[in-house]
Amino acid sequence: MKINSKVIIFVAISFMVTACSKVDPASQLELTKQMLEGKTWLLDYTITKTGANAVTKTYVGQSTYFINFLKDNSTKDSDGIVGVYSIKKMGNQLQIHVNAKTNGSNPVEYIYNIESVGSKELVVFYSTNTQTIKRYFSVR
Amino acid sequence: MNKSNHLLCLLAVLLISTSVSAQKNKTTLFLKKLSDSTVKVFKKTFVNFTNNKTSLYAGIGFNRQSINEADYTSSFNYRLSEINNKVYKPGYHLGVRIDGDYKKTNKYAFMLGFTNINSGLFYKNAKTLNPIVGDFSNFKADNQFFNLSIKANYKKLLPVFDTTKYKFYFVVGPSVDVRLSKQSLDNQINNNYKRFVFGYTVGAEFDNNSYYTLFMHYNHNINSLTKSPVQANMSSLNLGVFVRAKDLF
Repeated sequence: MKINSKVIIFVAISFMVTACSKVDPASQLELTKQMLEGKTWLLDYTITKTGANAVTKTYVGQSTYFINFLKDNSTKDSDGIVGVYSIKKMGNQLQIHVNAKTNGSNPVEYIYNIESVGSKELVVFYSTNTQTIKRYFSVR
Repeated sequence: MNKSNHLLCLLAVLLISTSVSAQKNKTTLFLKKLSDSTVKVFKKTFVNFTNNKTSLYAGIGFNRQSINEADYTSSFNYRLSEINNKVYKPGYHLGVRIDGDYKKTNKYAFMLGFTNINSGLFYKNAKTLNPIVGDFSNFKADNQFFNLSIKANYKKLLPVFDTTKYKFYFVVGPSVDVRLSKQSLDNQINNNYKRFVFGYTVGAEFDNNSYYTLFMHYNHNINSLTKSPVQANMSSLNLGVFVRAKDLF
């Protein structure tokens, strides 16, 4: 009986102390959206890798490409492409999916893979057949 | 026919109520036995702890967390210029404390209370994201915590001043903090913060003729606040006062 009461007290205290310690799987997408939305992201650099060669271009101090990600999931960029965006996770890769239309109403669909996202810095990349292009954005 | 039905129903109700009542008695008996045995175990365990005095304590704490991110990686970046600071930030703590004698010769104090921590953050290392970002971290440390704190301190009376009126104690002992607050969204992703943190306390206490006691405790954790590979350590300087409960109520 003594052992039982000790066990019961231990289990009760352990339960009270350890309860509510679940991991929220949706928090990564939520945090990414929080960091992206409501901002104008200006392109600062691109790095184009072709095989072993890497070419860096800077746009700092110039009139540059920008893209808006708004809170209502809409997006608009400096090329006049307007549409909606969503944050998704494919395997371990966070992605920005953009579904939009050009000025001439032609549909455009593209995906950015997120390398790193912060409240003021965003690094994304995408690949073509022969190249991997990295884009460095910032908020000023 | 109707009468016999009524009788059958009555019999069924009586049987059910009798069995429920028996069950209730069993439960009451079990709870009584459980409570008695707990009290016995408690008394037996703490037979050497005598001269216990219960007090209430409250105070202010200054806290700083030092962080070594090591090989931690995530898809998120945080500018160190915005989150890094080397300051101690204030929080508060309050609770109940029992002071007594162990085997009549060794003085001890047992503290149980809540600690609200607001901490400064000191990042020991930084990463760079060439070509654009210098000095950032993939880990954003939480700076707000609400903990249940349990401390057991050994008290040594220091032979200074008139010890019949004023008593100075050196205190040292282990502590356990249980995080009750939720982690920030940034840390929920990898569930970075541990719930239990073990540590130690070193400090001094000044008993003013048993009217009140002022204390100054330095706390530091032994295991990291965070899971591997991030190492986060909390340093806290707690200042406070405790007063005997019977003097207050």
